[in-house]
Amino acid sequence: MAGRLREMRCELSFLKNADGSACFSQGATCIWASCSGPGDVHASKASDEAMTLDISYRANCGDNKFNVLNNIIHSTLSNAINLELFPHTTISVTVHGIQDDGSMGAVAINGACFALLDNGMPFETVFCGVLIVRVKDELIIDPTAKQEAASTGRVLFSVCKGSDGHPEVCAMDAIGHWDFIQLEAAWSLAQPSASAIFDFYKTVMKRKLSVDEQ
Amino acid sequence: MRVQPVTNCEKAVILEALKIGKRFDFRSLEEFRDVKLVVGAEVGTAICTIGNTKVMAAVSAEIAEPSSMRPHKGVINIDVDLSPMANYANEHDRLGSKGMELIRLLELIIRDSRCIDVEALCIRAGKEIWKIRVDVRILDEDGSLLDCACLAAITALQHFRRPNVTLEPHHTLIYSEYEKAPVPLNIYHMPICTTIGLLDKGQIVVIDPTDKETACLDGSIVVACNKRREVCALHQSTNLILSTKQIERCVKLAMARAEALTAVVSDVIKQDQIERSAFKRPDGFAITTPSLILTAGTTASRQIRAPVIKTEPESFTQRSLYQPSVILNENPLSVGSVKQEDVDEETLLAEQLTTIQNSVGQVEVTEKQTVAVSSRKREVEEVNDLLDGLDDDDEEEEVQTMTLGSETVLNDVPMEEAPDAEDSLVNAKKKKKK
Repeated sequence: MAGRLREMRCELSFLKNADGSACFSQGATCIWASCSGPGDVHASKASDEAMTLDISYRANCGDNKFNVLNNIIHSTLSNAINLELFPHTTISVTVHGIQDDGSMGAVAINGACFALLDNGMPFETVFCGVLIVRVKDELIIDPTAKQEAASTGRVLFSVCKGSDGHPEVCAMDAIGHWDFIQLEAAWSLAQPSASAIFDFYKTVMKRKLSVDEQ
Repeated sequence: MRVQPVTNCEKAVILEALKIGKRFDFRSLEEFRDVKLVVGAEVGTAICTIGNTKVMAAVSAEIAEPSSMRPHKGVINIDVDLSPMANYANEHDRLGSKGMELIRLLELIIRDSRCIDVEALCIRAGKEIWKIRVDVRILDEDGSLLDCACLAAITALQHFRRPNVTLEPHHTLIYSEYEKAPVPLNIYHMPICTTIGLLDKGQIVVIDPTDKETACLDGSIVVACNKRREVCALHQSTNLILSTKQIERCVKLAMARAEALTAVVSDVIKQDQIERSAFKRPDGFAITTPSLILTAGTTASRQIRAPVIKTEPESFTQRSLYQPSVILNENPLSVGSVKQEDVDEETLLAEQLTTIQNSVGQVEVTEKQTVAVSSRKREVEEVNDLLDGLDDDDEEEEVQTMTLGSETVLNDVPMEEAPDAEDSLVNAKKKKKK
């Protein structure tokens, strides 16, 4: 149970108005992500040196003022994409949490990466998200909503692929009490999951591009 | 970010085509686009698709204190979010004139038409009422936004269940869904919205206009009516002078549409109830949105997908029964015979596709390569026979489906075979086009 990643599904290029779009689901958790740009930017937000990131996570209910996932996706994108390639522009990444059955943070990060891949952004490194919770001193990868509700600690890893091909931590968000040994154990569990997600990225994009070439 | 406006030559071409009765998506002037509805795993969630327009609606409820003016009635709030996903000109948390118009019209249609029994939402007069909140999320825009939003909201309200409540002296007991079954809302009728574009001072009627057609039209009229042929709302945009005959014609077209869509909503809700009655939580959007998206593109992709997922042919035949828009508009006298023909054709196609799947199953049983090669030749021949009947002009969207999960060794074999079947089907179709 601890070392299992739920079934992943992905659809690309289905929204008419977005430049890149992805419908990604892990188990019963489903998100839609879209990416538009680089495009023109308002003068108050423009930067002469780098591209401006406009990231928004939107839940089903409630207002969309701010969500904690905006910060971790923003940090991850700043690291994964060379923003200096597109000065004085902006990119808009929108993630809609369509159905929540746990691990919404990890699924949102994965969906955002798929939308950027579908858009054709120049990546320096791909990234993915892995959520690990602690339930009675047992660590669970990719928990369901019930497991997440019963957990005493939660840590969301945003993982990048390093230059040597191994996963590296890019951003991290921890809730609850975690000591160093537990974090190390969680990271050792997250690494094979990140490698599996990177392989899924490669499989999906290979399939998409193979259909295009025929 | 700014959206590129419609150019002058583009507008001239669209107007010229509309005046001779033609459209760029090969519809006639009085033909609707396909409607697809999906409800989610959580109660009160629905995604609706009309053509390329996609809207999601989610309903939630909480207990609140009523206003002093109406102590016996519950409250229904509509909240619309124009997402940057739908159109990259939309800014975060800014509605604009389009969003405000959408909110007011949805409030007019859902709340002011009294389609929901708000007095049944009262728990304790003057102290406790249910406050229903409908969140509408616009996911993709291609015209007829109000039609899609209204249909998604109505479906979500039909799908919603509120917790069971028991009154005792001095306190109120609220039960979770595991203790007592949740209670559906009392819905009297379903108002269905229809947008009708007008051209040449109302002389030409364009039904269900797309985004670019809307930019070229003189104006549009929105008619909301239910299946009992009652008009719930009437809204006209821009400055147009219309005669009563023109309005009556629009209302008649909208009434026929409302009857068809009411049947679609009822069918979707019934299917979901059948799934939930087995004490099983359905997968909801994680499984159904891919099939929804795939079938929004072309007919060919829907039929090609059928051998992989067994349950799809049944749902498609049932949905096609309720959405014969072309039949309703063209020749109402022969509706029955045309329906039967459609059903027969699709059942024949489903039978052929099941034979393809059986041949794929045969590959699993026998491990010899010779048998595998011959069965794949059969697959290619059968796919060519199927593709002969399809139009070669269909455009194929770039839609990719992949599944990955840790499964047992027994399940690995069919997972490996299914993508091969898909590849061979797609290759055969590509060869057909070349």
